[in-house]
Amino acid sequence: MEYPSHLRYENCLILSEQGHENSTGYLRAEEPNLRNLMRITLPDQTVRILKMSPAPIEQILLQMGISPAGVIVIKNGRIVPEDIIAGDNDDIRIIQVSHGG
Amino acid sequence: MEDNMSGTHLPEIESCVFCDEPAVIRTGDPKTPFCADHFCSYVEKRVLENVNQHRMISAGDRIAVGLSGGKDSTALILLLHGILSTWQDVSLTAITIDEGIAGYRDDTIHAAEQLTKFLGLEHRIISFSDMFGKDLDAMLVGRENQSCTVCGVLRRKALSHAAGLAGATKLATGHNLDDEAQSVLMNVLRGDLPRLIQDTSSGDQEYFIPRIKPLSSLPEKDIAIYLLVRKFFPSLPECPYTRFALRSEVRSILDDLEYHQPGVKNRLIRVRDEIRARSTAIKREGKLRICAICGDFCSGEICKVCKIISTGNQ
Repeated sequence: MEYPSHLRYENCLILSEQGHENSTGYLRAEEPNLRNLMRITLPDQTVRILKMSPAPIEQILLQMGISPAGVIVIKNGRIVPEDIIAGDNDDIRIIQVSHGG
Repeated sequence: MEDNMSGTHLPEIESCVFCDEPAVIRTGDPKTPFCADHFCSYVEKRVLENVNQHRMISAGDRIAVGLSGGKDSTALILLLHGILSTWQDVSLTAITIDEGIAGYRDDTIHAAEQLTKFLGLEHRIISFSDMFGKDLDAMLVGRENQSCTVCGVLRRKALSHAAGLAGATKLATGHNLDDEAQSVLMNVLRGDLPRLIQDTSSGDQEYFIPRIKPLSSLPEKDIAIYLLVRKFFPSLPECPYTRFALRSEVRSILDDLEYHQPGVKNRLIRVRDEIRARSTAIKREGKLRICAICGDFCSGEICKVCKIISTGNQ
């Protein structure tokens, strides 16, 4: 599947892959001119801060190698269908549906 | 908001098909957006339909729920507790099997205890150590790659034993649509036709407690969202033996397929059901025998449980 150019991973500015909380705070302090960032917390608690055009969350997940069928998306504290778009200042949390057991 | 590439409209929020509340999921066939409340009603209705369609529960039944404390069994007992609250002559009890998996099972058992206490249900815990003389960790030393096979066989035995002790007429497990589809593909990949056609829900009721799977029509994702919405989603550790499981690979393959080819899991189950319906003659070939060691019913000279135990003692 070919994605529009603004959704391609290489066109996303990945600003941080820090292990845990405070990624946004760190960036706010160190990079005051960088606003409109999307924060994504992955199932392993890794946090990624992206600067990219608004896009359906499922397409962002696919570019990260995550199958949308296997996860739940929380956008700004609310569970949402994965085809909802995310963009500037959105806080996205990804929960793995199955974790074996 | 406009997609700046194509100019098409992309939703920042989507409304429920029944009201103006924001959707939490698009599910079903065709995919339909539901808000939290309407989604819970939809899930409860789907489970009730599945129970009724397959005549899983009858008047006078005592249902033993296999409750690991994980996501699926938590949803199962919550849903059955709700459905059966209006059935005067059906009772519910919970069974937890403690396999003895360090760093994993203690947390899930605690979750199971909390839940049954909250629901006011009788709860029975049976351990591998009590039943088989060793916990799973001890049994698996040197054969960790067989973990799921060993655990599965022994857990089935322990569940049946505990259900018998509880006076159950049915044993309910939390298998969902994803589990069922994965099992179909796993049995095909293993070339295991007998297991593919085996239907434990309609087995010899004279010898075994029939098993029911009330969640078998629900995708795993629906179950997880149902629990999140109802604030019962258990945040628990992963089984340390999962990395050895074929199921993990099959799950990943099927999730990818389902995303690109929606309905593939349902179609796998439909094919299995058609094979089962046409394989009555094959099923009758296998006669029940008595295990030479423990005296339980089995298909060979020695049952799988005794084979596993004797291998572990060598």
